[in-house]
Amino acid sequence: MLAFIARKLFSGAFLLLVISSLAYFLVFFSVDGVAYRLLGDAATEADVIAKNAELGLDRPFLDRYLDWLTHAVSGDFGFSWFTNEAIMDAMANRLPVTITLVAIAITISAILAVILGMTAAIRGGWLDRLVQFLAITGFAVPGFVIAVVAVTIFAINLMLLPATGWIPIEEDFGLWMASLILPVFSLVIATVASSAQQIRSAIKNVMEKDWVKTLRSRGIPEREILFRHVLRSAAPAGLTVLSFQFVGMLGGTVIIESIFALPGIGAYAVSATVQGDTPVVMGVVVFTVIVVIVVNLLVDLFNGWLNPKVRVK
Amino acid sequence: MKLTKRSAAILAVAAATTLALAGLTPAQAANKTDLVIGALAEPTTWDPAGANIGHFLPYYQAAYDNLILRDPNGTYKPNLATKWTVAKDSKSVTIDLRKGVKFTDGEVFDAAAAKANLDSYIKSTGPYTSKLAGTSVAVVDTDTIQLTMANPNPEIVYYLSTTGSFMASPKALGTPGLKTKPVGSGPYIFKSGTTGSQYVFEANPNYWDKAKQKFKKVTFKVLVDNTARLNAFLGGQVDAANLSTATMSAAKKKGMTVVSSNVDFKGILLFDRTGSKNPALGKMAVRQAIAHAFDRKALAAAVDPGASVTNQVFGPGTQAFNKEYENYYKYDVATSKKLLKLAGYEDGFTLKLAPWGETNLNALVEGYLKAVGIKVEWTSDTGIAWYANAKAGKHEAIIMQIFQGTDFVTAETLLAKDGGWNPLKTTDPAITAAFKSIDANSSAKNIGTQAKIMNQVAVEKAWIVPFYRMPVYVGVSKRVKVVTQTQNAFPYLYNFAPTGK
Repeated sequence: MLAFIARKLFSGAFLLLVISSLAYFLVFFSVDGVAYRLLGDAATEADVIAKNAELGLDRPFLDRYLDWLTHAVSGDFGFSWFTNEAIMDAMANRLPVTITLVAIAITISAILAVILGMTAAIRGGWLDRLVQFLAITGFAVPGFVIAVVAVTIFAINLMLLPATGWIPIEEDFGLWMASLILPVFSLVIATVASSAQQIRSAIKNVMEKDWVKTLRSRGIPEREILFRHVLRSAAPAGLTVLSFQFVGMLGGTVIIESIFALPGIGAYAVSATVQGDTPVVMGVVVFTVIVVIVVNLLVDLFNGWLNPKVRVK
Repeated sequence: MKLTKRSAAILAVAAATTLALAGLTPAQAANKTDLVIGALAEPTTWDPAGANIGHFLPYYQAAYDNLILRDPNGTYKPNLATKWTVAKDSKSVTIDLRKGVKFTDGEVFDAAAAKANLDSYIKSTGPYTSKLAGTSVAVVDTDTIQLTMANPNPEIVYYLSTTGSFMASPKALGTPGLKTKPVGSGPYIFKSGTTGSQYVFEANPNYWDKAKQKFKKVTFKVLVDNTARLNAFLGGQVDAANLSTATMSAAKKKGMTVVSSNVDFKGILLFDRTGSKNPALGKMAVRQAIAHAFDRKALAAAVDPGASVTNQVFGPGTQAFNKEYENYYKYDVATSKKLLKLAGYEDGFTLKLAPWGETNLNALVEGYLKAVGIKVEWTSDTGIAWYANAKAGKHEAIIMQIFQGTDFVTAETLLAKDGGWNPLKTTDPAITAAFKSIDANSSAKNIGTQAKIMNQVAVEKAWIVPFYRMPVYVGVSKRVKVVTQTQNAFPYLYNFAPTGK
């Protein structure tokens, strides 16, 4: 198991180096106007030259990249050019918002998807058709549409929930919960339907296996077959789907965070990219890749725990 | 109906959730002593040297006082400066400072503190620091300073009343902490701030001018997205928010109060007036033909309903403003074609134009120009590359939205040889002479006279082709009232007051 973890960590570190290098290379060619952006309409050429020198933008690519890399390895990601906030502080403030949002949404999605998928696979009939219908609808109606409709109803018309913003849990638990309901709802609706269908297919697939029929022929109760054997066998496929959904949600939060003005990394990444704020873009890239690597590692470990064959592979 | 244990449990959870939701109220501008502003931008730094105008000013006004105040109509009033005298040649200004003012960290505001702030501003690289470049500051006595400018600075009072003189504690000046936490003598004290989220200020209990401190708490909620800002406003989370044309309509339909003012204009900046990149643009008749090609009223109705048609870059509050220039170039395809023929471009020509971020506006502009025989070739740069290329003089013309400032600021930005939006450094004898005249005599009267001359050149020689002046909308809740600020996209913080509701 330790060798398995070491292998995964090594490949993750390599992936991190490749993606961050590539990102730095891409960002390098899009920062020409940063000084103009920072200084505004009244800036003169001399101001722009001075600002470029201050930010180190007059240095060659390799020089800047190696400087960033050596600092990044020691945990120093620098400061935002546009807000002067330390990148580590920004990540410490923003990553928990995105992770909380996605983690709660994925947990609720997983629970609902398993219940719906399992029920559809076992009961069949109208429930099965309903799950499939919801899955198609979930694909067809994007999360931001759901978000806009939900805000209009619950925040503007009924004024039950906040339309925007994030209240830290330590400040007020009730308001923290209230600030999460609509964004989580918007993310869950789009995710749960497709996940439920995938889980339904995985369970149906396992239930058609010969060994399940053998268990039935031995008189083992259906409930025990389902929960002890079928679910365990179908879990890796379901977990993989949910891990993909998690990564997809990290991307999906960009829009949801914008609509609800949540101070997570999604909206932060977009504004930094538009502005050409290299330290922020690189910070977001590195931390997002780390989150994705950790999630995949956890899923692999869980799969390995559920199914020893995975560890051997 | 028989209720199973499971059904009962589900019902209980549903009931509890409903009750919990009913008890929750959205985080909002809770009472009449607080002000919550839905801001579309946030400061890049709290160091006063990085202060910018427009949406950024209210932030700095919460934490800092500047030397001179600019009232909603643009009149200059005492603030930390009680009196100021600008020399006739605009090369120096003597400022008497208010006594008895302290910064929130206990430091005393005096001439030494004012000099330290201005010196720090002058040596920094900020959005407007170049306007004070080369200025030296001398302490005359404990409550008097004198600024001596390297060149005549006719708008020195304007710059000191906007971004140029926010006073930070001398103890905090130059420290890294000042970039993320302001320490000033302003009406409010910074309590907390999270970039991209919100900044909270509480009333400074020792503030010297209670008339400017109208709220107990001021919060800036950063709401960059137009829809999010509208939703927060309609949902009662913010008291005031900048609204777009589309979101303004939605707010009005909900019965909200919306105030508006005209600050920016939208149009085509024809940079290549000498024809160095495109010989056609070097001909005045061609530029006038372009000016005649647009049905500005229809353009405004399609893209920015509520905008007022104009052909000049100087706004109504300036001395240079000429009512006759508002509709100087009437929409006239025949005249436009005739002018092109006169210039030798009967068969038209190709105009390389940098697009604006509104595809509908770009398409309409292309259509109008095509109708007179001018083929538009759009440049491919977008985002920050567009901005950088335009500033670096790589474009012959761009579509642009830009603010209309005071007489001198507008002239300096758009028409001066080294102006920020004159990247190809075009000159005209009349404009050069006008600037020289202002250098010699920078009285308000002469600035007005010279700006009128410059406006005449810009309009009649079609240096710039404005379409219309853009309305800027601000929605306010019933809890607050507000007065718009001349030549600023968002009302100053001092212009907000509680209604008591």
